[in-house]
Amino acid sequence: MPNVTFDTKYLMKRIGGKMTLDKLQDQLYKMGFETESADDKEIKIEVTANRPDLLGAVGMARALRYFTHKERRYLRSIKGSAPALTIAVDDSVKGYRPFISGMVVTGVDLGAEALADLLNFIDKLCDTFGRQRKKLAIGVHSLDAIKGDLTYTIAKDEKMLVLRGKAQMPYSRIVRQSEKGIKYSGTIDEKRGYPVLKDGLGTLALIPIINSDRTKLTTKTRNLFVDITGTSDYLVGKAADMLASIFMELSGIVGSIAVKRNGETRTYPLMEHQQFLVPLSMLEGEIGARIGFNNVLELANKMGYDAAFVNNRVRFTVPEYRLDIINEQDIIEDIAIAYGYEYINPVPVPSIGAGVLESRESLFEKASEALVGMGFSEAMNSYLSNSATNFAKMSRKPAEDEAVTIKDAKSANIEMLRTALLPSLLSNLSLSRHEKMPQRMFELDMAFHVKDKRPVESYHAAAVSLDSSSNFNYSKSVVTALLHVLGAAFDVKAATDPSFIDGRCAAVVAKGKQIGVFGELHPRVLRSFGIEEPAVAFEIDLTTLY
Amino acid sequence: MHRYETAVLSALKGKHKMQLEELMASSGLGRDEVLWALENLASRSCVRVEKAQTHDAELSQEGKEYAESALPEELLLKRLGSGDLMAAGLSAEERIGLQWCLRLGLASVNHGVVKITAKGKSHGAIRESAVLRELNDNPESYDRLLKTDGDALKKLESRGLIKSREKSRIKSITITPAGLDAETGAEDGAIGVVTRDVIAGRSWESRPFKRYDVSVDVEGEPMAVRHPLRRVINEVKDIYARMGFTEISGPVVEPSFWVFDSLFVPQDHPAREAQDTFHVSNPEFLPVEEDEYLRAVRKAHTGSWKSEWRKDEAERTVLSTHMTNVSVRYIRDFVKKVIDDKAYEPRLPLKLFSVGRIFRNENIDFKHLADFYQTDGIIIGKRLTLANLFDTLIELYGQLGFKVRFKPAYFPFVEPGAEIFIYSERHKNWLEVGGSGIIRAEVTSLPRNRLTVLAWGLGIERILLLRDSSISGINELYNNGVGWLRSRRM
Repeated sequence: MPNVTFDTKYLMKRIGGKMTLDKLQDQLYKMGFETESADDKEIKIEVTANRPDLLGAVGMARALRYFTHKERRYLRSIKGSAPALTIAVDDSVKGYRPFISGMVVTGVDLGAEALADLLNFIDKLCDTFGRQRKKLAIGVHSLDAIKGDLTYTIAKDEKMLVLRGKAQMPYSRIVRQSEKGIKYSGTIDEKRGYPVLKDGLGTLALIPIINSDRTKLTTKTRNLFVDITGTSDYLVGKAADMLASIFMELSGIVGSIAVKRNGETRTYPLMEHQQFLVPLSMLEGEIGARIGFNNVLELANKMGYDAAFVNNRVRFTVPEYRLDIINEQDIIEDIAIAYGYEYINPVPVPSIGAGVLESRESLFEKASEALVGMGFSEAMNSYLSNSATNFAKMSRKPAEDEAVTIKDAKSANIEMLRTALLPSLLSNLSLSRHEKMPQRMFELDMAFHVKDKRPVESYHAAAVSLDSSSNFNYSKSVVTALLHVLGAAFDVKAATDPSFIDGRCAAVVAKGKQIGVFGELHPRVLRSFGIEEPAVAFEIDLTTLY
Repeated sequence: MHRYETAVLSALKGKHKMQLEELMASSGLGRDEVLWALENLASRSCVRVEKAQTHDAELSQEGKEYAESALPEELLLKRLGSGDLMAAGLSAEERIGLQWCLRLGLASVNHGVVKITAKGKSHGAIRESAVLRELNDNPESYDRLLKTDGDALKKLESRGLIKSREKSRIKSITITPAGLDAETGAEDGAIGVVTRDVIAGRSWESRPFKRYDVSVDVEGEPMAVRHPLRRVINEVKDIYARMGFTEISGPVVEPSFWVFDSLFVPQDHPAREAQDTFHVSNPEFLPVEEDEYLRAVRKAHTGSWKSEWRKDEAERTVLSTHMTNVSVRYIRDFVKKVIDDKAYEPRLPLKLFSVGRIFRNENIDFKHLADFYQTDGIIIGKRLTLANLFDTLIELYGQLGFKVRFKPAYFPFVEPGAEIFIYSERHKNWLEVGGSGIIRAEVTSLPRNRLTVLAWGLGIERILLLRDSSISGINELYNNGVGWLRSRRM
């Protein structure tokens, strides 16, 4: 979820009228946005991932104006005129960065606040929604600096003078050495070439990295050209609508451009307004509140929709800047938000009988009760482990591909899911050396293996007793009592396990299968966990018992 | 009885429990004489000698150097704070620092440039540094640090900067009833310890029982206990069952399909990346059946997100980041039955829940764990509403003793969606505990007028942390210190 920092003064100015910071936060909460921090200078808001249109102050203020009834919403469209510019799309962009849209804006007076907000908005949008500019990138140029029509193509390694650059530089150096080049290098495939936008005078932008110095914006710039590129036709079109709407909010005059590809021409921005017909009964039925015909249109307006009644249904017209409205379900949510979650009266769901727990639960509870009764306290450990703890410290060697292994863990000591519980328990006990003896601990939880390339998830019970008087017979008596309580038929067989002292270790066999092991832990194992007290232990796979 | 033993016992008679030094002074014996007497008396159970293991730490040469300056990662982080560095230009010391910073996620290297990460920027002082300095000043502080900074000590030890040494020390000596008898029994002929002989020989008919001092301090008996988190989990399960919910369960190791794709999370969504989610290298992929449901999921993705949907991406193995995979697997089986078997008329609403471990690729510290508990609940029915969802959650948290409120929120698989906040009396504030909503038709693959599914996912540890103010952080729950467990209140 992107955290967006707004300039408090500018946001308030755009909302208009008077609103205290507290009231603002309260409204934001009702709309579904948490405020991280707020003071006279900055306000930090968590904008949900479905609302890219709110990543800038212009969009956020517009939504707040509608929500607080400061303004009735209306749909925006472009007054019909011929495209001001044409972009010819070369075939070479196919399969690389195929889509481009854009617009021209004239007579817009941005000023320092609006310009900073606009550039922040574009950066946030392209980094989050645009997936670090891979899916979507936007460039803003001075329209007056552009000569002739434009070409969007993949070029060889040529030179350009970048924004605020000192000398001409080859694209390859810009990609490899400049700050933006390094940050967004994931979007460029140098073997195939460099996506560029050119006019009659040369390169306008190395897309999606950086613009040329020639078309840079100054505080005097009034006329703009905007290019929008990416890998999603839909998004590139929608982003143009979203930006056009913002420029209109800023009193700019938006003009269209033509994009020519394979003899086909499309005009942007599309200024598309989706429409949905939703019965009132469906809105009320899903929200669970009586809204009424009298209120529903106002609630729709509050969320920025144009709404009207058509044959007993509500026709919602979605504003051009919304790209999260897939179908009626999304509109239902908006109406619920406008209605106010706090006003929805809770209604109980009838039950058709008592609930039941998983059948293994009663076995686990019996086992736990038995172990507590024998003086073992319960531990709960992470399922995540590493080869050193899980195998090496236990003197065990992993079978090939036995463990579920994890890649790219941020914590250095996470490499795999544990295959056994005893290493977890011994790690716990190694930290309790100063506590009173005897120390007895058990755990009943999951362990993981891989068998035939499939994960096997099973529940184990394991316990350790640290006690100067612990011996093999004690461990056997605990295992015997536990399995007796669980009503399991089992045999005990001499066994070898490198974690235990040879000759003082036995296997638990049930239904012809070895399901566990117990005995006296080997001093080598105890020492590797930093334990200097004699210990006995068992670990049993409970899978066959439930 | 040897005169040293008599001297020790009569010294103890006055106070019952003494330190070694105190006992030496009041018995007038030397250390060796006292120790000799104690060994004999302990073997006859006349005294109880309580020993304590203490530790101190020795710093290696390298450890001492770092204690005097700072750990290399700390130095590097400081330098990075004032600007990026070229990896090639780092000193040997800074390279060591870089390795640690990378491991902790405090710095990143991209095209040979070392940068501080957002985490690095917000990261306070490196805890190990402070611990190392403290040990250098006072090696005896090890035991105290073990309670507060166990992780830091472990890391320092594994880096070979410190070495801990164990020492045994007599903590206290207590005289037992048998010891009191041995010391005084001969004097007045009273009965001390009640033995089988005493009972069988009826000596109590003619001799009085020695009177014990009932005001003597004793420690509580160390108990075996269930884990406090388990108690909360069981409580939650009981509440669900009482509310008519039946438990379901499912896998932890899953193909992305059940964790993301079936929940309408687009394939290029950042949450799916290894940055947030554990990717599994063995088995790297888990096959997903090409059936009606998969086709519906594919159609929902390509149609709504207007982007390509790849089956191999959906088969990438991950550790589940929520319990909703369990819910959605159930929903899918249910819908399949409804569609395949025209005669099947389920009794609705079906109320279901699951509790289990979920995973996030986090750096583990005081506040963050990489695996923790979540509970998911769903109600499958007809014409269920947001009002029904709110009522269920108010009831569930009400049973746990919390007030609830809801905030609109976005999750790809529900619409409308709501975040759940509960009121903490301790913080005097509302805290977020989970998400909820009505499942999208794209997920159930049935239109909502045929089937509505209410769903929520809630954290469990939070409940315990809010109730028990003696627990300082979430990581404390999984340390399982013996002393910690024994001192829990139920």
